[in-house]
This record gives sequence, structure tokens and C-alpha cells, in this order.
Amino acid sequence: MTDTPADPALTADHLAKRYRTRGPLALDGVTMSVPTGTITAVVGPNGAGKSTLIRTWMGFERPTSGRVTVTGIDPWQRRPQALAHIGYVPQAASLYRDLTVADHLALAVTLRRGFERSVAVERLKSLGIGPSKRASELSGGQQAQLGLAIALATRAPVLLLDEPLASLDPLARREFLSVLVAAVRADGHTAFLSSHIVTDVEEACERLVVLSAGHVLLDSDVAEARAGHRIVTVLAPSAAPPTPWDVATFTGPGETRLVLSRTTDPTVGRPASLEEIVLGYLSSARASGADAAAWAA
Amino acid sequence: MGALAGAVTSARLTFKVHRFEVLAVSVGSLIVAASALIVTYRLNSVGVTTQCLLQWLSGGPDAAGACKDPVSQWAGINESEGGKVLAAMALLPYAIGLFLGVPLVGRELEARTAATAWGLAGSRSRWLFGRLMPVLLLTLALGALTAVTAAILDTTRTGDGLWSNLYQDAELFGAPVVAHAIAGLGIGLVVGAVMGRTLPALIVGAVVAIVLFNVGQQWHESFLPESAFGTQGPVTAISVRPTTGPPLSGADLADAAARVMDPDLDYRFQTADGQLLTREAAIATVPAGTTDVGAWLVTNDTPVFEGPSAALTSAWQLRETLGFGLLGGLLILLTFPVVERARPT
Repeated sequence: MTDTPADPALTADHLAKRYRTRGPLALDGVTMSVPTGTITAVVGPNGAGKSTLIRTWMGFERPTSGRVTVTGIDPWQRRPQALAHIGYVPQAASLYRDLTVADHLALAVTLRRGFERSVAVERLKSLGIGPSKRASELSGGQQAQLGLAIALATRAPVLLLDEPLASLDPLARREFLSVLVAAVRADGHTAFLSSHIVTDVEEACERLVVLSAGHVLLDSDVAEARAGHRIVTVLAPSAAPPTPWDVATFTGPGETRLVLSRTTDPTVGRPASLEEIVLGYLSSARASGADAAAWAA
Repeated sequence: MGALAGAVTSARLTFKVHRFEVLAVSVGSLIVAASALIVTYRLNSVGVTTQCLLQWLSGGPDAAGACKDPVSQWAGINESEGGKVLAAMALLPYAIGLFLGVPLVGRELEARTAATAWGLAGSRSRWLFGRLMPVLLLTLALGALTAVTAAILDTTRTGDGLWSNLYQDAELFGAPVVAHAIAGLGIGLVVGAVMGRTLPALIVGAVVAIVLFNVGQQWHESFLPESAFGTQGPVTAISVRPTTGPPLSGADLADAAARVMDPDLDYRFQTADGQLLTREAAIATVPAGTTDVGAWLVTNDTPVFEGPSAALTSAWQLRETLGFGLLGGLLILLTFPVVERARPT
């Protein structure tokens, strides 16, 4: 298949994944498409299915039902071809503890055709990460940067990053994201990263997917999401009945009750932050029993 | 990067990632090999004579007279040190294979590095091949070292060619040792890949190897001709006499001898002046026209030993090598689809 700007880089079509025969669904009817050239963040609590979704695109997991594609290729059916289009950053613990930085790059050269070692070397040099340091001697931030440098040096058009920020301090997170955004913008690549911390990805991403208990609760452009949601502070939960456009009521700072409304009406409350939007959707999922259903299953 | 440079880099990184196991099995193999050579040297240093060893064969280590001390010393070294080293050498090839095989895929899954490697490598089979080749070569090299040094030790332990009952030890030296190492590697690889945990896989692999070792022993014994059972060591006149068939003609001694001696067994005869003769040499001493070759040999050249022949030993070794080698090869091949379907955590 020929890539065109109109082709989505990643798709999921009614994707369901169950790890055990009678176990709960880790992903339940997920349908989405990630446009080429965008940076998309999937956020959600632990166990929401974020890693499963990324691993399914990697061809590491076989869909129980439904289908996924990477640049039009089914990664389960044609894994080598699909992986040739993916630069993958697994969790920081996925490095070889006893190999040096240089060894990791040498390993990547032997494993990946077209791996541009010089690209990785330049990035690591600019970050002050020496080639002779062992992975176990690197800080969490440096390990994440090494993983990112390797993924970027594959020159793959699609980057999949599985919780790359999880173990990083705030400064390291900021550095990581700035490198990612700069690289993706420069090369016109597509990036899809998972996180359970909304504020981390707020600045970096154009698109946001909220996932909970295997369901997509929100799949939207970040700017549209911000423009389309507002927050109303209520003094007592029973003061006003919920309206059809209310997403959920949740607890804000100082035990205040906040209502997330799906509206663009500037007379309603105040603009919602991305974190409030995510919290509202996650609260709605909890109230609707999606999580409870998962427990019951 | 060229194919050769890529292979060298891959080997270097494989050995570096698994350097503990590589170091452990390499040092272990060298220690055992050195021990075998030291025991061999100590046995040879005793300077026990052929005559004394023949006495020992006939009467055990308490041989009388001038032979008593050297035979006692020789037998002591042979049984204690030689036996222990050879026992270690029996297990070593399996240990080499298991220690090198289990972590190759198992640790990648356990340490979560498989996600990095398999995310980079388009083909997991290509990745496994690159990892496997240097480890397979090391396994073959260490297996060969064990095989050769075990052969040197066992030859000395069995009288330096004085008698050829190496059949009982046939799986402990030569090509079968290398085959055991390959089987161990195959078991380790596939169990490690299926379980994805190094220590449990090592334990399960060891249990499987022990079962396989015992099955091999049973198979080995079942291959021995019935006539060879219980005939290791000194023989009686009955052993070289035909129990059935027409009276023997002395016209063709070789034919007559063949009919009184089991072709699957090997014999040694001691002449009156103390010379030790092989089967062929003993037959050559039988005068033409002798009607009862067996009786003549028993009377004139005292038969001192009979046991499975060198040909039988070689035939068994071939079977053992093919059996274990094929099993190991199949298990190694089986690892490829297992890895293709494995789920990196």
C-alpha cells in the first residue's frame, strides 16, 4: 500500500483483546484512527488497555477480534513488514542492563536494516550521554532518551511509545517530550504515546485518546476537546439535575464538586483544562460501571 | 554493515549479555578437562605394568606380590578420582547446553529486553539465528573439549587399550558427548522460550535432561547383545566354546574362531609367557588342523577378558550421537516457532 497524506498511520477497527478465555476484555471494541504526522497521547488509568493497544500495533498481541493496521499493514499477519514502519520505545526497564550505550546502538545496527547510528549518536551526544556508560548506570531519564534515540534512528514513519514518561522526574519528562516533538515535527512522523499523567502530554500532543477499561471514552483533537468542554462548579451535588450534555461530576481541588459539560457555550462555567476533561471522562466511566463490569468479569 | 561484521557484532553482544553463563560453562569445562588430564597423568605416573593390570583384572585390587602396591595405587586413583571426574564429564555436556540455552530467550523475556530486540528486528527468527549461532559454536567447542579429554581419561582408565570394554562408557566420550551438549542446548532453548523465566526453566530443563540421560542409559543397555551381559572381566572356557552346531573343522581357523567367539564381543588372551593377545593374534597362534579351536585357545592361550567389541562400541556411539543430536536439533528448530508466537512482556 502506498502512503498518502490521507492515509491514517494507525487504525484499530472494533478491536477486542482478551488475554484469558474467561478473563475480562483488555480492549473492548476499540475503533480509532491516528492521522499521519500527528502526535497522539492515549491516557487512562493503569489497566485501561493502553499498553495492550500499542502492543497490538507492534504485533506482540493477537487481536481476539477486530483488526489493526500500521500504515495499512496488519501487524499480526505481516509483522516484519509492519515493524519496518515502527520505531518502538518500550518501558525504560527494557534496556540491556549490562550493555553500554554504544553496545545498544551496535545491537540496533545488527537488528534493523537502515538504522542510522549517526542520528542516534548525535542525539545522545547533545544530551551528554556517553557511549561507554552501561544502561544500568544511566538515570531513568537517560534510559528513556536512549530508547527514544534508538527509535528515532530507525527513521520509521511511526513511533509507538509505551509509557515512556512513567519513571521520569519532571525535568526529564520535559526534556524527553521536547526531543520527541522536535524530531517528529522535523521528520513529519507520527507518534503515539501512552501515559497516565495528562499534564505531561498536554503541551506535546495534538490529539488525545482517553481509554478506560478497554473502552475509548474520548478520541479528539486536543484543541477541539478544550474548546468543546467547560467546567461548572456546584456547591451541592443535588443543586441542579444533570443535563444531557454533562459528562460527569467529579471532585476537584479542595473537595469542590465539578461538572464537566460537553458544550461550547461561553456562558456556561469556565473553560476546562485537559486534565479536567480526562478526569471527567474517567469519572463517567466509573459511574457507568465500566470498571465495575471489568471487576465482575 | 557487512554480513560477517554483523555476525561478529552479534556474537560479541550475545556473549556480553550472557557473559555469566558463558564464563561459568567455559571455566567449568576447562576445570573438568584439566582434571581429566591430571587424573590421566597420575594414572600413567604410577607406572603399573600390563602384567599387574591383568592380575588386577583377574583378582581385583588386592593383587599379590610386586603388583600389590602399584595396582592398589592405580586402582585407588582410577576408582575415586577417575570415577568422579568421569561422572562430572557425563553431566557436563547437558549442563553446558542448559546453561547456554535457557537464558538465550528466557532471560530476554524475563528481563523485558525482548520487547526492545523484537521491536527492532523485523524477523524474530533472524534475531534468534544471530543469537543462536555463537552459542551453538561455543557449545560444540566445549562439548568437543569434554569429548576428547574424556576419551583420553577413559582409555587410560580401561588399561590404555589393554582391554576394550569401553562399551559401558561409550556415551561418556567421543561424539556422543557433543550430541548431549546439543540436546541440552535444545532443551534449554525451548524450555526457556516457553517459560520465559530463567531459574524455573533451568530447573525444569535439568529434570528433563536427567530423564533423558536415564532413558539414554536404558536404551544403551538394550542395545547390548544378550551374550555380553555379565561377561565383563575374566572369562571361562565355556565362553569360547560353541554350544550348538556341527563339530568344528580346523580347515579354516578364522571361520572356526568366528563360530566359537561372539562377533559382538571382544576378547583378550594371555599366553604362557605373559603376552597379551588380541582375538586375531590369538587365532593366529592356533595350529592348523586343530579341530576344537575353542578348547585349544582355552588350554593354550588363557582367555582373560571378553566384552563388547570396539565395533559394537562405535555402532552404539553412532546411534547415541544421531539420536541425541537429532533430538537437540529438532528442539532448537522448535524454538523458532515458539519465539515467533511468544509474547514479550
